[in-house]
Amino acid sequence: MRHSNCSCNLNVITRRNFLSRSAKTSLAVALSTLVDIPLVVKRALAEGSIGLNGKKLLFIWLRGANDGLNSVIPILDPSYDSSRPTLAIPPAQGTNYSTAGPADFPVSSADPASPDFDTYHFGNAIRLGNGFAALHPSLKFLSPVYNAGDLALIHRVAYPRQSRSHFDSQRYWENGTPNNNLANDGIFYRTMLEYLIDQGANASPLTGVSIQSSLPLILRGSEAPMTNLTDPLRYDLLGIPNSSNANFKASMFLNQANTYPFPSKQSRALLQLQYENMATTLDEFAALRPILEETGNTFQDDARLDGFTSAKTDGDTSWVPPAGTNGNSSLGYFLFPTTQLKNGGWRRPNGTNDAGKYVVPPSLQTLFERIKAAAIILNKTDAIIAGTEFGGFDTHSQQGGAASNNANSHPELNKGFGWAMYALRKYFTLYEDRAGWDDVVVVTLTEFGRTTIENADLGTDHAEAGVMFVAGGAVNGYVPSVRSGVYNCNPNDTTVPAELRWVTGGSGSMFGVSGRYLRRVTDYRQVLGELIRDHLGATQNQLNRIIPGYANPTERLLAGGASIDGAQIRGELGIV
Amino acid sequence: MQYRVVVLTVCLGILAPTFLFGADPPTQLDLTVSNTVKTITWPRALLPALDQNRLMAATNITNFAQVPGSNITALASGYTWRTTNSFPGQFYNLELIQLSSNDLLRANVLNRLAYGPTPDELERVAAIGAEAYINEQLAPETIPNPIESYTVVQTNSLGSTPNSNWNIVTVTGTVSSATGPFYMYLREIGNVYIDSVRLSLLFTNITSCVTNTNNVVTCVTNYYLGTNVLVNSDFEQPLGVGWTLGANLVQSSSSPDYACSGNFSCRMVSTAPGSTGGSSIQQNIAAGALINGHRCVLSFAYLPDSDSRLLTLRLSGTGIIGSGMDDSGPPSWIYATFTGQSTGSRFLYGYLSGPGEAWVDDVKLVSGSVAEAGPNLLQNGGFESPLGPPWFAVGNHSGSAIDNTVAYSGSGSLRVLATGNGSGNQTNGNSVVQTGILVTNNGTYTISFWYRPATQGRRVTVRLSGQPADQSPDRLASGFKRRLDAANWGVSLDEMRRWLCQNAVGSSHQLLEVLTQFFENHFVTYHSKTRDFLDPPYNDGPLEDAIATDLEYREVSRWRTALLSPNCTFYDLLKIHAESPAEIIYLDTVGSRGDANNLANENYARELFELFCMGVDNGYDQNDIVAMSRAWTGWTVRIARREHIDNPFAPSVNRNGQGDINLMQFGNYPGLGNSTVSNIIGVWTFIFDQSWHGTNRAPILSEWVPGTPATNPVAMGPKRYAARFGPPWAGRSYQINIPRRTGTNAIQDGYDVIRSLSTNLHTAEYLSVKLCSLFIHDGFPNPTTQTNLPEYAFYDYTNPNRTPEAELIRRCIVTWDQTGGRIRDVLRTIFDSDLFRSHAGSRQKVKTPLEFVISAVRALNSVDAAGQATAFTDGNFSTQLGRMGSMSLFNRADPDGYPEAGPPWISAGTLAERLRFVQTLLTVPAARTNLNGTANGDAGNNTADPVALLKRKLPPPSWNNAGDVADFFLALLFFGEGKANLDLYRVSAVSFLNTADNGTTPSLFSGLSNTGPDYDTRVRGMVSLLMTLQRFQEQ
Repeated sequence: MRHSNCSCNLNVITRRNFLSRSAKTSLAVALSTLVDIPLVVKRALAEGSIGLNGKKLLFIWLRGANDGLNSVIPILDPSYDSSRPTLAIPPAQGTNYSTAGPADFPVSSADPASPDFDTYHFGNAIRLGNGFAALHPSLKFLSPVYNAGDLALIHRVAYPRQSRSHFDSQRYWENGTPNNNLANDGIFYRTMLEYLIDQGANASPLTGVSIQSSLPLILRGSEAPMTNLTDPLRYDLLGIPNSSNANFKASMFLNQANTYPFPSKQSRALLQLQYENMATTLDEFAALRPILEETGNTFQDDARLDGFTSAKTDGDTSWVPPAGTNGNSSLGYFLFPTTQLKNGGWRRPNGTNDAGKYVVPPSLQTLFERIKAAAIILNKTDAIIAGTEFGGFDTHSQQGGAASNNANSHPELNKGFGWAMYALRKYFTLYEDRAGWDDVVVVTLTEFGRTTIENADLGTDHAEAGVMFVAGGAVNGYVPSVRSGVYNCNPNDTTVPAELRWVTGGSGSMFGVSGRYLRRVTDYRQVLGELIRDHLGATQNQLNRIIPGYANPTERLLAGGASIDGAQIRGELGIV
Repeated sequence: MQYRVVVLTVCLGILAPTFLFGADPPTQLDLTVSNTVKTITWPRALLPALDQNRLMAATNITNFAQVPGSNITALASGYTWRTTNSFPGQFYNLELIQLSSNDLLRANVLNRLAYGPTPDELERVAAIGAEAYINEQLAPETIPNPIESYTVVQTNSLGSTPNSNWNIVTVTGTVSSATGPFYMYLREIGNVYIDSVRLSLLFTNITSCVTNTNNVVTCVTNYYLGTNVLVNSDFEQPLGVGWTLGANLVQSSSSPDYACSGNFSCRMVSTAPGSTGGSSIQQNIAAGALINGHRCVLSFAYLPDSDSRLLTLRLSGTGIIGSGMDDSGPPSWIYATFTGQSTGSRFLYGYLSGPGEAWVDDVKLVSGSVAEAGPNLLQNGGFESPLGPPWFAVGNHSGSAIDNTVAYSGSGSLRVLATGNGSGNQTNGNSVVQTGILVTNNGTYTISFWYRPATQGRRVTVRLSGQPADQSPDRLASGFKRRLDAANWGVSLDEMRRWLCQNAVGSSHQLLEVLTQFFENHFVTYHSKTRDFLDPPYNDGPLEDAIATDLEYREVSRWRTALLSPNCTFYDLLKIHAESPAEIIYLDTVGSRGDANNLANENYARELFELFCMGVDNGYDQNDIVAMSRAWTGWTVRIARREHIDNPFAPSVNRNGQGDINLMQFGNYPGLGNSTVSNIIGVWTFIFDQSWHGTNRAPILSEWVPGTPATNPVAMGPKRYAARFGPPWAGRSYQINIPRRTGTNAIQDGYDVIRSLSTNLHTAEYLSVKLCSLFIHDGFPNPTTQTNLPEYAFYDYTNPNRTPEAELIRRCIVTWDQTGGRIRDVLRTIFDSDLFRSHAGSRQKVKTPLEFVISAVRALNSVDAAGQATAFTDGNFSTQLGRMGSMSLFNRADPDGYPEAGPPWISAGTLAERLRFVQTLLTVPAARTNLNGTANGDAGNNTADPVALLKRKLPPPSWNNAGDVADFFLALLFFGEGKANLDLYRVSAVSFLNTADNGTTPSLFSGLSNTGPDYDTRVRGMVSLLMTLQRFQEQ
């Protein structure tokens, strides 16, 4: 090793001086590429209110295709049980699922301090109160969100000419143009582009953010930089500073050299954009770091919002936060189970540790690091869209019914997004800063549903329509005696055109395509389109650009009818 | 005076006549005039790889003269030349001279066929020429590759007298049937010699208490054995004494042929498979000799011959069972050595990576960097004396002891016996430790030792206290390969990744390395899923890791072997994947059944069409998937004896213990009492279970009756090649018609499928698209036969105006069709293409994270004849690849593999990680600290010494010349880019070298002592600067 006695190492760059050298120029450079778009030149005035109305969107990608039929369960369809001999979620004895009203929230009536008092003690389908459907018991924490009127469960969502390839389907969900593999930018990217074009130099450097291994297609495009964080805690600095002078020198030269022009090549524009984006966004994340690390603060539940007399989650009144978690013993479980100690009421009052009290499987701790980061970024910065993903939903074998048989089984994965939506509601309600729960919509994406009939490996294969979960204070969910929060999953739902209502039995809805798949009734683009237009504030014209073909009459996305492939679909649902 | 604007001809200078340019338009020169000053300006970045802007001026259009280059000002905004001459009119001509075609091709081959250039390879390829490099890399079997070559050392097994071939088996268990009987049998017909059978209770006591200087008393638990409860178990008397023989074993006898101890052994002759009672050689145990529930130890020696089969010795019940003959082969002693710096802490540790046993002998610690040169600083390193101070066996290694039955040299060795993960922490850790060693801080020392692994999945570490680097044996590519080849389940996934990455950095078979990663990624499997599959029978993390790694290695090494053959076709590679246990587990074929009313799992069938062969929506549909899925029913993974590793019809057991071997019989680690199931014998391999197979009902790749039943489609005719393929292919049938087969013949269904798919034109097309995306650029969309999609028109080979990309794919398909998919011919077609040899491809690709880290180390890595390198890697990039976009090698969750194209990898967060890696790589290790002062692992154990590199490659007068140093690194890091396009980078680099650390004060590089720290820091900073720039992301 040469000269290891030298401590004045030079080739390092701090976030701060990297930023100070480049922030002023980079956005202008980034946007200068936009003004070449003729369409843009024509639109001198701001259009719509994306980014101006304070509304935000948080997405969670369920990669691998979540089994919709075992998430929002057609429990009163007699063919459900018979199609899934081992996977079907059994109804609860004595529960009349045709009763209308709020969803059940099964909390054990036993002593919460008892070792038998598990978070997911209930092994049966949870009545949703729409008269037909039920929730998977691992999704029990969706019930309070549902009963607050903040959750829409949209069944039978897909797109025309469904590909049963994961990669095709994910691509179409992200690029917004089904059956087009050449469209290489994403729906949310184009949404942010509309904002950037409108706002020009006034735009925030932080618009769309993902927290996952790499920037997903849904936020990717070559003309404006979206941001991805592999690990939000590592993004606040570049290099390893130990000499401020040297840092200054290194960052100065780096910024200088990065402005030098080169002939255009593939990906060069994208590299340039992301180098600049790195510089402009570093400062934002540096400021967030103490919050992300929860130094001196932490985020806990307050169950009184859901009508409990105590603040403690899930009726678990004896729970106390484990030592070292910084928790407040007068509040409920930690909203973001990023460690085992913060994972539900893991440590029982008598001091014993018990995985039965986890709210999510420990393997999802990284997911909750990411969900927490996405939530904090939306709440503390100008970012408009943030999200993350988690995988494992491709349950071809050993899927698991009501109970888990391994950490990657479907019931365990369900706990992940069930708790996430519950926690996000509490976070944006209890810890509101720049975004409250009314300002945020949380939406899940998944590329398709799974076969109605289970296979010989006790799993399910690729199919067509699945379920989308949409939560937020502004979402049109359950209102007592007015409206249920379940869309497209009830034979008696008169808001659905008669010919599109759920049909039970062996030749019913669950066998609508090829005798074994759910046929779609709603297009995913309608759901995302409504959110982009009616929540984020896009105009219809903007939406037509964000989702090409949205106004195409043959697609029937606005009013419903015979879609491009001949299948009948509903019009927009009015979910926000 | 007013001038007319005079013009300009713009011409593209051509140095080599065969050179092809990109379709860049001519450019405009701007001329401004004020009074007598004429200013010519033109923009930057006019052409890729622009080497020179040559401005010519003339007053007569036939008589151009070049203006002096030094008078042209180069700024970020463009180039400017001013003249004050007063000619009334003048012509100007700008010649744009690109990199020569030879230089361009050299850059392309080193960036595409290799993981980027190394300084040495740049020189070598310049000497031999790019064509020779292509030829050489296309025939890797002709080039030696020292990096992963090794020599097998076997010191005490085959080749010596039979008596020394005795294999010793020792197992510990818990007595469940105190009076026995005790059984010995072969599970098939065959012969074997057995000797020295010993069954004893295991007792413990505490001895060797040590009081240290802090008055802490540490005691060592020793194990000792009770008396042997068996009689005549040395077989010195006739077999009738003490033993009862089953009818199938009556030919057995006490034999003088060979003996492990005494003069006789038991010659077991089995005429029918044994199991228990009447089919074994058995002995009842005297009452009271054993105690139910108590731990006991069984040991025996056996001498196999060619007829030996599956020996089992066990006590009735489930308590204690030993087996032989089906382990990984004769034990061999392996030599390991490591040189490093001491921290002055006076402890040396030896330990295992988990519960198990191994033998260690002849441990030597010497001063300096030459193994065994000088006095051994250890006491009793040969283990010829009893294990006493200064040796201590502590923590979960306290059962370790001297063994006088096994030795590399002399008569004794150290038998390391661990009940858990080892660790070094003076005498408080879990290790065999020697204390009080005389070492000095920062002194260089070399450890050497021999070890003989015993428990599968366990690694041996011998190291000095506090040594920063990794001291386990065989940490070079050759060592990893030797251990992987031994298939003794002793290599973890991280170690296999290190084997792969060390090869990627240093192998002379660069194209083979690129192709290995390409096909491994194309035929993706998922290590974690294999581990989950192995969890029920093992419940042992490190062992599951090691076996899953073995399955990954078996497929990768088969691909490498196939690619070393000139005649390797895509069918060969596809067949390896179809037969790979890792794949069968990953894509759920492992449990897929087509018998009775079972619905076959469609996962493999779908991905075989979509991802491995034809490409999505390219000539197949859902009904074909359903029809084809039945062909793979019965292709499963079971455990079979090692000699059956390539026999899909071998007797086997399944995960639930059904079959001819009951997995759960094999309960314990050898030598240990752990209640795990980790010493299952045999090997996990592809097995065809005919009882699970479902006969195909409909031909695959058919046109289907509309409304055909989803689970049992009805065919009405063959699928035919689409019109876009043109003659002679369009309209030709590519249906696969599989006859109804039964029994073991039905395995042929699967081979019929891949044989047909491997030469299907859609496969040729899709694989060519992927290979062109790898070797040329990202602009090859995926093909389709759906006529409404734009890609259909893109790959319409009947279109006379098709793009160069489509034309190259067509040529690849022709080659594929003519050669049956021979890989080298397809690659040759690509490498010979204009696209590969032009600027259309050069530097068009963004490096994947793997390509980025490997190319960064390679760029600074010059190795001299003595093996001294200017950059070092231990091959461990796992953390870095994770941060740069979750590129977890051999562990991709999704079956589409990691993307080859740039955009999925490019985002601010992942780029920040790339910058941090390079910056840390160029930082002196001692200075790698975080803000909080802790060590920074951003570059792991990867280091680079750019000053040593430049002093090796540049003459001394250039060492202090900032321009020369900058030029050297520019040419190294941006090889393939022209000087004109790099001139501003050069300005920055020279300016960096001539600027003090504060970034503003001038400080001439020429004035620095080139052996001083300031010089080193300045060079490191400049190289770091260049490697963090956007252009270094490209290849």
